[in-house]
Amino acid sequence: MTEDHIVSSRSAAEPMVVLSNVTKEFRVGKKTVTAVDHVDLTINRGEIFAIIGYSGAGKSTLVRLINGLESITSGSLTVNGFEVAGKRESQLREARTNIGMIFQQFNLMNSRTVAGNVEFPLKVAGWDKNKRAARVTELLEFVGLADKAKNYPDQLSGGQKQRVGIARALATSPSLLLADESTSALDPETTAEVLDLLKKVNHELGITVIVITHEMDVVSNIADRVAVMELGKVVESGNVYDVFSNPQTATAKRFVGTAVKTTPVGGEAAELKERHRGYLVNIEITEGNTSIGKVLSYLGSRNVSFNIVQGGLETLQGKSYGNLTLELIGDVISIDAAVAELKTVTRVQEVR
Amino acid sequence: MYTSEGKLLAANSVDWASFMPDKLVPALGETLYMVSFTMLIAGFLGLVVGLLLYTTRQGNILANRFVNIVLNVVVNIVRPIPFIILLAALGPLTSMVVGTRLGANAAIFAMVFGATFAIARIVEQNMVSIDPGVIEAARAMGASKMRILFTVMIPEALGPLILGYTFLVIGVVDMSAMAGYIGGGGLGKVALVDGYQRFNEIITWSVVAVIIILVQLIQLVGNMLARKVMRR
Ligand SMILES: Nc1ncnc2c1ncn2[C@@H]1O[C@H](COP(=O)(O)OP(=O)(O)O)[C@@H](O)[C@H]1O
Ligand SMILES: [Mg+2]
Repeated sequence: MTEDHIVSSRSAAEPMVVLSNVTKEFRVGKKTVTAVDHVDLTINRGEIFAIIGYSGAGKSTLVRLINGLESITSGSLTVNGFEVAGKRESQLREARTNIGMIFQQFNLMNSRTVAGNVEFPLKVAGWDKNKRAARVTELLEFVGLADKAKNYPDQLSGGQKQRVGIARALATSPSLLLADESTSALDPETTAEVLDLLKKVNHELGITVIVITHEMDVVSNIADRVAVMELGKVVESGNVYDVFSNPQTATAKRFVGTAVKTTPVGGEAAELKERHRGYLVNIEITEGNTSIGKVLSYLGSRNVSFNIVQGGLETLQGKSYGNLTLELIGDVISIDAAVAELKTVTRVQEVR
Repeated sequence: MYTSEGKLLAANSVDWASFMPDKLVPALGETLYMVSFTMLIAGFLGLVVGLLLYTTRQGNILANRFVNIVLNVVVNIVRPIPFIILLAALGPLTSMVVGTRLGANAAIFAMVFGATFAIARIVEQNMVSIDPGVIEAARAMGASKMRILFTVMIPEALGPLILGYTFLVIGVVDMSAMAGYIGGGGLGKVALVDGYQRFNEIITWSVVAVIIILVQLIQLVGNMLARKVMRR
């Protein structure tokens, strides 16, 4: 039911963050580094949008342009209709209270208690003392750290620190949350906890979330849509399932490869052929493709038998995708017929 | 009394009943007066200069190449001058500003001059160790530069700053002893005039002992405060 609700609200697609032809250059000595290169991107209200890419792709720079921590070299970037480009620090301050941010290294103040850290943005926003105290209690309860209010950050685990970071980022009820590698310093179990909390932030509070990551897991876990970045450019973007069930660029393919086993190539393919004398093909599995099973079950009557050699299946946004490598055994003509039939229902590639 | 034998005798004896209340205690009072006033003034000025050295660095909140270079040059010129020479060199300026080259206030003037730049460097060096991520987080929350300076940077560096100041109080005690040489009074003068120049080693060493105790007490208090702030 909630799925339907989210889908329908997503189809309304009200743009929240809009980047048009955004470029960011850094001067390093006499050289110019283009960290963000003519990027067009729209992030809609209420969605969890992931930006994935390898280190140095320009993800952090891109996200820092959104809240004006870095100035835009050229192009236009609006948040809730507010143009960020060309604004002075003093003009950006107001806008920033409406954008929360969390960091890989948490960036909590060690000189303040957990409560003091969460209270800080409220002081910045000019809240009075009683309102602040009530809000801090409410936030710490939301992130499940009410009992740690009087502790100092260095007395907390990484996951707890990030939850304080989230409480702090949510303090002034922003409409947008930026998460830059917010789980990259955490172990897998804690990562899952923090991702669940981010989902809760999105679902219960309706806050739009932009997550920056180099981990495929993070994207497949929480994101609705994704942009793949490489050398400052967005090379692929769209619905998470669409992008990762059918990756177009080498970068996107490599990220998919970190989550599921993909079509074997090179040394891996040679090794498989060494071990399996039959004809090796790779078939793509996509959601709703029930015909593949049907085709496979008829292979026997066509004098072809098969073995499943390797493969991987994953679920993205409740839909499965992946690859299977099959060894087909039989005479050449029968195998050709079988492959032709498979090709009518899915993508088939010979393993060479 | 004035025979060579008598001198020797005087050099080895101290009339504690009169030395303590007439010389040592007032001298300690003068030293404390000079040190605390110097620390009050130079502590503040050094903090201002040190914060400017830090915040005008490239990429920091008040980044300003020109101001940063000028401050660095000034600090680098004044800091290496040995205090005893600075004291003499500042003589004319001191008499212009304070009205005299002698006495505790003249000494304080020269000490403030020397200590300000030393404190500035120590402040800067302790601030540099602040995690830039914390400052970035404060910026992301919409905090103003001044709020970041006073409610993020200084509290985050407070523990090391206290230790840095403690180190400098001890340096200023040292300066005050030298200031005694040019008529600044205090423990330094007693050690030099009543001890060293009259070959009375007992006096010299008793002053040294007082200075050691003073320094130990300062360090103890500094460590305690820093530990309290840093919670370890
Ligand atoms: N302040 C800066 N000055 C100079 N170059 C920078 C700066 N910040 C980032 N860069 C450069 O921009 C590129 C993108 O960096 P970044 O946005 O941090 O990538 P990512 O977050 O994807 O790892 C890198 O080549 C990096 O060296
Ligand atoms: Mg990064």
